[in-house]
Amino acid sequence: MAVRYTELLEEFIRDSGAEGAVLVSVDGLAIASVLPSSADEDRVAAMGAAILSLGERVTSELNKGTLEQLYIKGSTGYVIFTGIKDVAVLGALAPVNAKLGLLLMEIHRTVKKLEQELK
Amino acid sequence: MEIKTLENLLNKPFNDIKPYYIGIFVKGKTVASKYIKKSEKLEEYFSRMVERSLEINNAIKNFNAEFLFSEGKDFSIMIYYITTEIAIGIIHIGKPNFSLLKIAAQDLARELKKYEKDLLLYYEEHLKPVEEQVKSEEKENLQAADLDELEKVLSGKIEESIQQKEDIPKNTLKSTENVSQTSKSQKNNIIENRPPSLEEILSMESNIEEESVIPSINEILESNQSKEDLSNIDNILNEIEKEFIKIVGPFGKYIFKKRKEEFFKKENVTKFSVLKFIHSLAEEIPEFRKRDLFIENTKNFLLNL
Repeated sequence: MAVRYTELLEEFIRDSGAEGAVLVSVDGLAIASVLPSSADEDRVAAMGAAILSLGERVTSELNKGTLEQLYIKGSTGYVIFTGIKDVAVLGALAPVNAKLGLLLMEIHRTVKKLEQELK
Repeated sequence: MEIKTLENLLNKPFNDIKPYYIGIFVKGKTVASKYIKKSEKLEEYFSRMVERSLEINNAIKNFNAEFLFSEGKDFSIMIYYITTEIAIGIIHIGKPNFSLLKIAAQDLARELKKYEKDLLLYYEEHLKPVEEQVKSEEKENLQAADLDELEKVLSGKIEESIQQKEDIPKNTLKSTENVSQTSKSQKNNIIENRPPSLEEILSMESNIEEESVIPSINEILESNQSKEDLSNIDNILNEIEKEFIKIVGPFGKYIFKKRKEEFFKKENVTKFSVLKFIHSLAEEIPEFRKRDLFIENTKNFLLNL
């Protein structure tokens, strides 16, 4: 099964121009990943699940529903975390010159596919 | 540097963009904040979110985080990083406007840059010691709890030994009545509740040992090894699994399964190997008290077999 997830992540990287991607369980453990050597898989996974969950708690305190996506911009690129229902989180690493529109569209498509796989 | 100075700095963006919450954070701890409606939970979750997000710089080499942004239909969240330790957090309710939040955060960051050293110093002096104090209080509570537990155990043992002493005369009366005539004087002494002398104790020793010495778990295991029922061991492994999940959490199920498969590849399923398995599982529990509790509870399952 992990092989199928890895295939989906590789496909996403190919189509979106992302540098890497990681699929994380809600408890912060990496399910599958295709990451560059500069990224620490465990840390990216744990941090992504944690901040998305804390962000959801913030929005829930404000009665503003769920927080589906957040992104962090760094001097060398972007990291975008997207929730996949209540079961997982998709993290995508993109270079600083990435086409954000295309990237977000591909993330949306990949999330749909992963939702089906994780059912 | 006074907090009032920081609060004054927050006034401008607070009046300009009218956020629901705006705060200055050092290493994920709130130094100063302004809000429309105070909510401790909201501030706690948000400061933890800031703290965790700072880890991105360790998770990805040379990332140099600039900001974090998230938006929904009628809210937006921005965390703007001034350094790897200092950040501004803004929660805005209403139609998301990324540019507005970013400009306000950039302006505030420029002002705060002048206070970078002061902010770190403030953290060291006011926020860090509080953390350590909490830790030392936790440690003290833990020690106090340990002492209470030790006291209970000891008092339990003392009560047990008193009970044993009280039982000695009855046991001895039954077991020694027909054994020797010299024990008559001993019986009289015991009946009079006089503590037995060393000689008397020695003479009774063999009888007492038979009835009052509690065998160790290894002795129980060895003595019952031949009689053990393997189907019961399966039930006990299930009980051990439940106890492990109770302590470790839902992920314990996978750890248990993995450990069980690895362990019983090399070992036959016997009471003794289950005991060894319990100890190997316990190594997965980081907290010593919980680890001991797990060993204690699961050993009891074996004793009941």
